[in-house]
Amino acid sequence: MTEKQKNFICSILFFLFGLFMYIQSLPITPVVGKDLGSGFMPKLIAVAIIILSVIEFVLTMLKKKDKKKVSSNSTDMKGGILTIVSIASYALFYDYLGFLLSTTLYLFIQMVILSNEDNRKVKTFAIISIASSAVIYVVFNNVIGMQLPAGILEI
Amino acid sequence: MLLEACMQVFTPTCLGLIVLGVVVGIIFGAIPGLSATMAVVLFLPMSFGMSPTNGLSLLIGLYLGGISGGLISAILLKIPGTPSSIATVFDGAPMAEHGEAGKALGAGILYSFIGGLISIFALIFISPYLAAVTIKFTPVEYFSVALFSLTIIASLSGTSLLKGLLAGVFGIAISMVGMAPIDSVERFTFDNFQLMSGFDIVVILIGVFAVTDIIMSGFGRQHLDDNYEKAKYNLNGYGITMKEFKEQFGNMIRSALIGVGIGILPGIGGNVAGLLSYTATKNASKHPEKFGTGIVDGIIASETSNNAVIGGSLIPLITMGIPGNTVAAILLGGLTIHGITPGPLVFQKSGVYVYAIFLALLVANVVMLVVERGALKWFVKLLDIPKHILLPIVMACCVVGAYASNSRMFDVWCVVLFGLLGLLFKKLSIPTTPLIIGFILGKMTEENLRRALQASNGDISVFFTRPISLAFLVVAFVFVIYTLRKSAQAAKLKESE
Repeated sequence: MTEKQKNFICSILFFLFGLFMYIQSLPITPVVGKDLGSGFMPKLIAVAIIILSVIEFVLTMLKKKDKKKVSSNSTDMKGGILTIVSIASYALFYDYLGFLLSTTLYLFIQMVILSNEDNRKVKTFAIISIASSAVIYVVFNNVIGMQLPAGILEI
Repeated sequence: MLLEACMQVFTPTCLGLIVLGVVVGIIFGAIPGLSATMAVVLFLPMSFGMSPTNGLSLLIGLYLGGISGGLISAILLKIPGTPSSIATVFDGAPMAEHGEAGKALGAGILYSFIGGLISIFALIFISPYLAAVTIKFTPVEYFSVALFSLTIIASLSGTSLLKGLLAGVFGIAISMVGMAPIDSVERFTFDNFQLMSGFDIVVILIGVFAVTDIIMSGFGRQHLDDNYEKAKYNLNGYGITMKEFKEQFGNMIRSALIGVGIGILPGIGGNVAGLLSYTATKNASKHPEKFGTGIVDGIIASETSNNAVIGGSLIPLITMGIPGNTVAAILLGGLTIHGITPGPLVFQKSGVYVYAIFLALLVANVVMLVVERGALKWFVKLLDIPKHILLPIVMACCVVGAYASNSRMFDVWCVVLFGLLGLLFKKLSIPTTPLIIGFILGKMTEENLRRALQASNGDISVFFTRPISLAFLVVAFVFVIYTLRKSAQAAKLKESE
């Protein structure tokens, strides 16, 4: 992606967001007398977003062609997407599996994803995953006294 | 009364609680996702069972330690451990990359102590005078202060002013989710009751600052450990020479005063103080272009002022019962539980406890200076843990932190969503700091604008006829013009290259 493409995407996304926000705030009317109403600021901000995104779009159009391309070779799409998927699944199953189980699994999987062939020590990862989730659990549940979800481990 | 307070504070139990508070506070401050606010919240119920002096001393230790611990992760992990240390990352991270982590840490700790000390003296000696001014504040003044603070967005936007502004107004937009101020109209909740109270600032901070970075590390996993090579650190004393101390004296005083001032103003916390001092120091500097590349000036500005907020935030709390920030709001709860009613009469009615608070602050500040420096070796050891092991654990702490703030799953999902939003911002080269500032100030700006106009029957001239308000608006205007001119100059310079 060049800097120019980034600016185009950025201005289009914000334009759409501003438009959506403006439409959403149209039905909000003042309830209390002599008040601007709860619709005033959202409309003002929405208009500001629209104006700024249009300026950004126009300025990007006027800009001369970008010479340098932002290199995308260094990014590892697979690693990124796997990380997003594992974080999302962790959040989704956090409540159901409970803190201990979901955290141990997540820690292990994420460590495997982030490590490479040279430093992938599966046994160490497993021990650290179990130990750190146990420590966090004991600190919060027993020392601080704040309940973390027990999930399916609850009897 | 002072003698009685001394006798209560200088007992083994009370001193032990202060040390415990500071140590736990530093740990909470250093771990991203666990903040000073959270440390104080978690220990608040525990303090109810203690004597007022002991309980308050523990909470004060946690507050001071929590604010001071943030610099460790800001420098070593490039993630602000607590919102107050956002500005510490700007120069702390590059310094660590250049192998100056030790100096950054030493200076951060020393100036945290100095900032704290100056603010405690401000609290003790000038609080009655400052209270006399702020007690006259109306929504008109609050609006102008908020508007003035919003202009920081423009100057913090890095290379692209427009993108920074977009991120800033976007932050204001998200702050509007939930019940509106004044008339409690539901906005942008899409009939989801979880959205009624809006987004929690902790959730947004964890998402945008921590989760985004962890996802980014997934994209850059090939180079994960070469970026994080253990920074060698060499530190004697606090890493600051007498010469440097003299050079930074103006910076120190300015940042401390900004911190105290921001602390006094309700609703604005250490994060804004750090950013504001950073910007002020950058603009006053002879070499502003060096900021962000790893110079100690930036660390000193941020760390002096975020600790100076501590004393500042207690000034309106003790004399008027108005908390200066979230932690002060929790402390207010702690005071009331022990039957201490803050207000103009507090010195007569609960003088002993007020002096005990002052003493606990002074002791906690010294404890912080010694403990954080003394245990620095162990904190730096954090760098020895490989990133592919540390980052997943940080993520688990983030989820715990998000869950802990309200004990609901909704916040955990929001953290992930904000992490993805942060990722989008990063990929499109949009700065994320303006988003946070917009979010913090959005609600305050709207509420006070509406209150002020209600009181004046819709007459906007009130903002220009009241002197304090006018002063803030003028400064805001000058600030905007100055930033626009600077960014135009920078653009010209870029073109001529």
